[in-house]
Parts: sequence; C-alpha cells; structure tokens
Amino acid sequence: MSDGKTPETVSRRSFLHACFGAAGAMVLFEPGEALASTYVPGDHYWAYVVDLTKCIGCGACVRACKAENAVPDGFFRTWVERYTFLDDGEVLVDSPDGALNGFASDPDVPPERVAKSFFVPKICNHCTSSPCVQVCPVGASYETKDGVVLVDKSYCIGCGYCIQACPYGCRFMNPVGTADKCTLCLHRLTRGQAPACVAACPVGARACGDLKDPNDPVRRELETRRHGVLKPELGTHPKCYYLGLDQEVL
Amino acid sequence: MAPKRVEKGGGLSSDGPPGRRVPGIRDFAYSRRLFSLVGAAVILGLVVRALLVPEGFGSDGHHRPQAPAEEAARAPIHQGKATCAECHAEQFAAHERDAHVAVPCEDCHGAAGEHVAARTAKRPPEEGRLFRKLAQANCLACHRQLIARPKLFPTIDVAAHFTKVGVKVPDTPCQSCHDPHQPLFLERPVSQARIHPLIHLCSDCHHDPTVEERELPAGHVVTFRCGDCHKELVADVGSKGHKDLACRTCHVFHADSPFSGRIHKNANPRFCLLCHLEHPFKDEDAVPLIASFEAHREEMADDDADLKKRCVDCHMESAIHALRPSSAPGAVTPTPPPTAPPTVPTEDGPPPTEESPPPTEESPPPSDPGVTP
Amino acid sequence: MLDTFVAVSGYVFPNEIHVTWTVMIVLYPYITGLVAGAFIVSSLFHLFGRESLRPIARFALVSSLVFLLFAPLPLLLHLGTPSRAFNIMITPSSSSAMAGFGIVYLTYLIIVVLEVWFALREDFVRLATTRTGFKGWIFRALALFDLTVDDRTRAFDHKVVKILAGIGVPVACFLHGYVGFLFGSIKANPWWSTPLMFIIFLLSAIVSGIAVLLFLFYFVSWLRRVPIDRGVVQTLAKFLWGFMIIDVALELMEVLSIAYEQTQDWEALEILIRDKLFYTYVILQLLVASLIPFLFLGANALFTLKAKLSNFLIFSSAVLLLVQVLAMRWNVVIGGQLMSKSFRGYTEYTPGIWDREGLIVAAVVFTVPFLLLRLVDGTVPLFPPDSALGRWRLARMKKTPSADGAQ
Repeated sequence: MSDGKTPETVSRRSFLHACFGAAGAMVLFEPGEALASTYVPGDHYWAYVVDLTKCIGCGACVRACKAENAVPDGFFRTWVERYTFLDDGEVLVDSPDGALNGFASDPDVPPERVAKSFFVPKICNHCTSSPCVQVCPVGASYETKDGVVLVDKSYCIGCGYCIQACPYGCRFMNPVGTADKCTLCLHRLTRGQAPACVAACPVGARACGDLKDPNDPVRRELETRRHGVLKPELGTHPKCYYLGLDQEVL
Repeated sequence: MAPKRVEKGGGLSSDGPPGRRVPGIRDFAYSRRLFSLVGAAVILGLVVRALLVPEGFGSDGHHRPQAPAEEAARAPIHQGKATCAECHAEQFAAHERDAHVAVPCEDCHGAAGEHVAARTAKRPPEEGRLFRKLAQANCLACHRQLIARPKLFPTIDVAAHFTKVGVKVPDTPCQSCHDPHQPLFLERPVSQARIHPLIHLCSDCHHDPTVEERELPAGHVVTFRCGDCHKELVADVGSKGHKDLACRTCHVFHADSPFSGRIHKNANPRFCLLCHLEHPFKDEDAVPLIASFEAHREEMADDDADLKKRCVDCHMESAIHALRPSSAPGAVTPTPPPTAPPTVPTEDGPPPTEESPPPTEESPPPSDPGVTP
Repeated sequence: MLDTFVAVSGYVFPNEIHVTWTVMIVLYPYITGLVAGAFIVSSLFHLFGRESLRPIARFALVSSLVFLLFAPLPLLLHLGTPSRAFNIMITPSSSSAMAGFGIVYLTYLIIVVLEVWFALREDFVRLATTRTGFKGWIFRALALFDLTVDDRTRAFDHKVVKILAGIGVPVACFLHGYVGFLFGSIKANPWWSTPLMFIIFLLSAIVSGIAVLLFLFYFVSWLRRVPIDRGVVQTLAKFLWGFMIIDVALELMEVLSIAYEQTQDWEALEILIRDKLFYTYVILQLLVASLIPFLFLGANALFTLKAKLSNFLIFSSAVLLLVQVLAMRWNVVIGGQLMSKSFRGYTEYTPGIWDREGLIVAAVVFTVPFLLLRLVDGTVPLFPPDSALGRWRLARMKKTPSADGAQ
C-alpha cells in the first residue's frame, strides 16, 4: 500500500517494467484492495439477472469464470445451455462442455422443425433459502450478510451432501477434496467490480446488482420487468432472476 | 486397587435369572467405575470439542466468521478495459468507437491477470493471451449462425459469406479482412449514431429463410420495411451494383431493446475495402477488386482535391444509391405501409442470403453492464 | 477419474456427469443397517424376552458393536478431506441431517459398548482369574479391577442390559432412520425425496440385520459341524419373513404411488427405472432377491418341511435378502445420482476397482468386521454354553485348554 498513488502517475507499462518482479503483479491489484477495505457486507444484498432474450451463447462468461476462479477442467461454476423446441413440442437441451467453447453448430434437427430456440446461462442461484447451506453438516456452506452463498474451503470436509442437495447442479467436488461453487466473484464485488461472467458478457445478458441500492439498474429492472426464477416450487427463493424465462427451463 | 474376588464366575452367560432385589449403580465398584469412566469420557470429549471449535465460530451465523473476508481477499484476475487501455491506447481508442465497444478486451485476449503474470514471469507474451491464433472459431463463438441466437444479433454462415464476397480459401481467418478492434471502421462512435426506429425483418421472428418473399398472411401484424419510408432509395439501390446487399449491411441498426434502434452511415473507405480489396485468397471475378485504395485514387484523380476523396464520393450514385434530399432523416415522407409488403425487390434485397460482409452491430451501450456497489 | 469417458443420454447438468456419492456411500447405510438390525434381534431376547433367540442374542449384540465400529470407515474413505472429519462433531449444524451423525453415532456407541460390557462382564472376570501375566492384566482392566460375581451382580447386570436394550432400540431406529432421512429429505432429488425413505431404510436395516445373523449362524454351525438350532433359525426366519414383507411392500408403495400420480417427476423416474436401473432394481432387487425369499420363507413358515429343506430355504433367503438390501442401497444411492436434476438426462456409473472408493477397498472394509467378529469369538464365548455352538466350544476347550482365547 506504500505506493498506492503510483498507478496514476506512471503509465502501467513503464511501471510494470520498473518493477518487473513478483511485486509487479501484486501492486497491479492494489487499488482494488483499498476499495475492499471500505466494503461493508451488511450494506449490500446482491442479486443476479439474466436476460434470456439477449444471450448469444458465445461462452465468454464460461471462459472468464474459469480463468477468474481457476475452475478445474470438467466442472463449471457457470455454464450456458441451449434449449431447442421442436414443432411437435419436444424440447432438446444441450451444453457441450458447458459451452466453454460456445456452440459449434445447430442441433442435429431439420431447421424447419425448430419452433423456438434460445440460450440459458446458469450460475449458482444464491438462494435465500439454500438447501446446500441447510444440509452442510459442519457450517462450511453458508450465506453471507450480502446474500452470497459460499463454501469455506478451509473448513469443508468434502462429504458432498451439498452437491446432492442443490437442485440446480451448481455445485461440484473440487478435486482438491472440497465442495466448490460460484462465489458471485465476491472478491470482485467487494472491490466495486462486476463478477467476471458479467464483465465478460458482450451483449449485456448478465447483470449483478445490489438490491439495497434503490438506484441500482438491476433492482430497477427487477421492479419494472417480468421475471422468473428456476424451480420456484422447491421454495429455495433464488436470487438469480431470469427475464424471458420459459417454463421448460429447469 | 487390588481386585476383589468374591466368587469365581463359573457361568458363561450374564443372562441368568434375575435376583430378588435389584441393586443400583452405586452398589458395585465396577459399575461405579464404569459409569464414572463413561462420564469422564463424555466430559473429556466435550472439553476437547470446545477447545477445537474455530475462533469466533457461530458469532456471525453457523460458519467461521473470517471465511467471507478470506474469500473476498482473493485478487481479481480480470482487470477490465481501463487497465488494458493504459498500455494499449491505440487499439483501445479504435475499439471504443466501433461496433465491438461492448466486447471487453479480455473476452478475446484472456484475463489481464494472466497476461501480466506471463509477462512478469518472462514467459513468451503469447502465453498471456487466450486467442493466440487468428482462427475463424474465435469470431464465430459469437457470430456463427445458430438458430438459438437472437435474430437481431449479426451472425454469419461462413460458406455463404465467402461465396458472396469471393473468398476462395475456406479457412481464411476473419481477421484477414476484418479488424476486430474496428469491425466496421465507423467514422463516428456508435454511441453517437442517430436514433432510428427499429425495423424488424420477417426473419427476425421467423426461422424460414424464404419467409421474406412470402405474402403477409391475413391478420398478421403490419411489418415495416425500409422501402415503406425510403421508397426511392430502395428502388434506386435495387437497380445498381449493390442490389444484393441488405440496408443493414451499411447502415448499422443497434438494438438495445425491441423499442429502440440506431442508424449510422458509414463512409469510411476501409469499410468499402472489406469487400473490394484484393487478396490472394479472393476470387477476382466475384466482386470488383482494387489492389490499393491509395493507388486507385491516385490513378483516378484529376486534381489535388480528388486525392482527398473517399469511395462514396465517386461511386455513391453510380453503384450504391442516389443521395436525394428525401433521404435525409428529417425529410422523410412516410407513406402509410401497405397491408401486405411489396413483393418487388425491396431495399432489403434477397434476405435469404443475408450474410452481410461486415457483421452489423448490436450490443448495449458502452456503459459497463456490471455492478454499482 | 475425470478423463474417463462417461456415456450420457439426454441433457445432464455438466457438474452431474460424474457421480459424487459412490460405492462407499452404498456401503455405509448397508453396514449401519446391519448394526441396527442385529441390535434389534438381540433386543428381541434381552428386552422382549423372546426365549428362542437366547442362543444368538449375545452374538447379535456383539455383531452389532463390531459393525458399528466400522460403520464410519466408508464415510471416512469417501470424504474429500478426511483429515477434517471431526468437524462434523466440533461444529455440527443443527439444520443438517448429516450432522446428527456425530451425536446419534456416539450415543449409540456408548449404549452398545455398555450393553456388551455388561453382557460380557462375567467372562472378563473369569478370564481375568484364569489368565496370567499381561493377558490377565488386560482382562482385569477390562473387568475394571472388580471381579465380584454373585447372584446380586448377575441380577444387576441383567437389569442394566435390559435397560440399555430399552434405550438402544429407539436409538438404533433413530440411527438408521436418520440415514434414510438423509436421503429422504433431499427435495432436489425426486428419487430420494419421500417421507417413506425413513421407514424403508429402517425396515430394510432390520431385514439385513436378521439376514446377516441367519447367514452367520448357519455358516458357523456348518463350519463347526454342529447341528442347526432349529428354534433360532425358525424364529429368525419368521421375523425375517414378516419384516421383508413390510419392507418390500413399502418399497413398492413408494414407487407405485409416484407412478400412479403421473407427476412430472414420474416422467423422468420411469426412464430411470426402465433403462438405468432395470437390472439392479426391477430384476435383482424386486424379482430375484425379494420374490424368491418371499416364497421360500412363506413356504417355510406355512408348511412343515423337512429340516434339510427348511434350512436350505432359510439360508438361501437370508443370502438373497442380504443381496436385496445391498441392491436397494445401490439403487437408492447410485440410482438417485444417475438422473440429472435437469430431469432431461441420465449419466452412467461404473465403480472403480482399485481407487480409494473402489470395489476392492469396499470389499476389504466389509470383510474386516467379520474378521474382528471371529477374533472376538475366539476370546470370549458368544454363544451360551447350553446351546449347540456353546457346547462345541466347551468341548474344544477341554480338548485343548489353551484354545480358549488363543484362537
């Protein structure tokens, strides 16, 4: 923190060249650290909004999440599904490798049989009444004051009960032996940055906002537009809201 | 503690007949000892448990109170475009004004944190990039024609596009013609483009590519076409060299929501050259090609003033469409739309082959769609 | 494990392609089931005074303890971070069914240890007096250095055993019922989420407990060439028949009611049962391992058969019902994870052979309690001296006096 003003006075490149060691990377993140210290969890309550009419299924969010959170291969903190409704009512769903590389082709059906089709990004719903938190035997899964459901990876015993309890398939067993899931990029939120998936979305299909802030665009959108949540009948009260949701989306 | 031995136990079973008076726990040394042992073990267990409870556990809900701060302490890997701009100002400036403005740098280049880590570790700079090779797949992640994609989003069928613009080599990277930082070479930032009512095409709602040529069925909501307002222009372009192009190819409609649209006239020569510049991978018979814009201009110039001309300054009326006062935005004379769309080749051209050379742009305003903590 | 290709049909959430709970979680409720079942058999004598079960009561009690000692082992092997296993007892969450494990397990362990101790006390005393040196000291320590044995102590010990059995039966029900609740309370999974799961697990536990005792009783009797105690096996066979009827009826009722209601869940469960669990559920659990024992045990209970035929029917039924309960555990634990919570697809699971949660380790974990039981049997008599197996032991002791405790 000693030279917190440096990034403003020296260009980043020359600055980096100046301290071309491990310290360079550390100093790079410094402004964010300063913000994090002023963050008061109780002042916020995060919600997530996905506009299904906008998503183009590029998979940028999945790639960004993987890089931001070092998500192990074969597992996903976020992924994108594709729903394809055929003229006879049949519904096809796919998500090749979680859409890590987007979608390479249309589903293998004649195009004229397709009645409607759209992409559905999925993340942890950060449920208000989380079954995963409920079942955790040791208190390693918990909800923070600002509405984020987290795993304490230094306390989790790796029993996998939360993975069974999540109705949305959002949790997985990290090969290191603890449960893993979306953190809503709490480390970014506390620094005033959007979650990596939100920041990566080129079409604004994903947004994360503070329900305690009356001027937050996400809160305003939820107040003015029609939205739905996944599997509402389970009483989990998700905080991930979908605009343009279809009842076939589970 | 010498063991007392009152009677040698001969029986093997404790399940014998009960005595008349059943004594209590305290009547026997062994039972006193046993239950004391059990009690001590339970108390010891509870004490050990209490000592092992992590500091402060439960003070903030049933979890370690330090856990959220530990999670939040992690350093962000993605840095945001402002960080990129500090070094890559030139590319950033071009990117900011063009159609890809809403696509974050890190979507294509990888997380800046990785980039910086690769640089600080003196690894090859390529290792800090997500997309090292200029491959079609990178662009097609967004722009591949897929049924599931929102209809207003610019998508492309590479094979059809290559046929139209005469590209012979099938795996020619998109970047051979298109600059991802300025895909349209816009002369004015998209954010300053004029607002225009959004015009939906039949294919915006219907998958069937032939729908554009069909009669509007009875009872269908009235749809508009460019020609409904810009009649002469549409008729004019239909008679000229660019008749196969959709209006959207050059005029950018920018849909934030179904209720708004933007239009931008682009006269940047580099935009025209996307199609008309000679390349080894192009078929010279498909589209008129020039080897170099500057050479062509010099060759055709009559005087010094001509050397400042753009493509449209010479070719507009002859090859694209006439510029008439009525085409100015304020001078439109809207005619009531017909009950059914005209079947004449409207300005839209044949929409089935609607792969416009440059993907027209979409996307929300440049403002960060993110959070406002 | 992750690089192995998994054949997926339909759409499975990408995190659900690999099954999280595997063989060890199949084994865990299986072993706890044996614990609860064996304890209830012993209590049929100790608490409910079913005299015909006297020859097997103590054996059942000690089996229960031995299985109980090994019940947490599969869990431990399954945990992603086993070094933190004790967190479940340090900070148990009141809202978690699983957190009940620590409390229920320890309570039950204390009860069973105490009950076994009071049941075996007289033998500890006897061994403490007949053994010398270190072994003698061990037994004196086990007898807590009080070698009093008389009618008053016998009456007292008997009373304590009875009281402990009285507390133990509800705790045993709770222990195994809680395992059923662990699955039955998962609302995300329609194959698990049913209030019947609690009672099905409990009944199948009793079935497996009786079956394993029958199996062991036959096995030991045949091994030692001792005539089968028909009173024991007939009583157990009748209980087994009764409990298996209720158990299987509930298992069927659970599925049939979902099937009849034709809910959205059923659309997905039908395919699960028809395609993914056809062999393990329909064929093995229901047709082979339920129907055959039902007919065998029914015939044995309703008709007077020759002892040899009756023994054959009971023994094969016991083995089949052990398989039935194992299949039931498999179909619940694995079956529930084969269906994606997208309700649109199914994954596949083939157990590993050599991995930490593979078949070899599972077989070892399951075998060790039996070996320990053999070890205990060699030290203290598990069958009363007036029973056939008890007499065999006394005869052997006379032949080789050192055999007592040395085998």
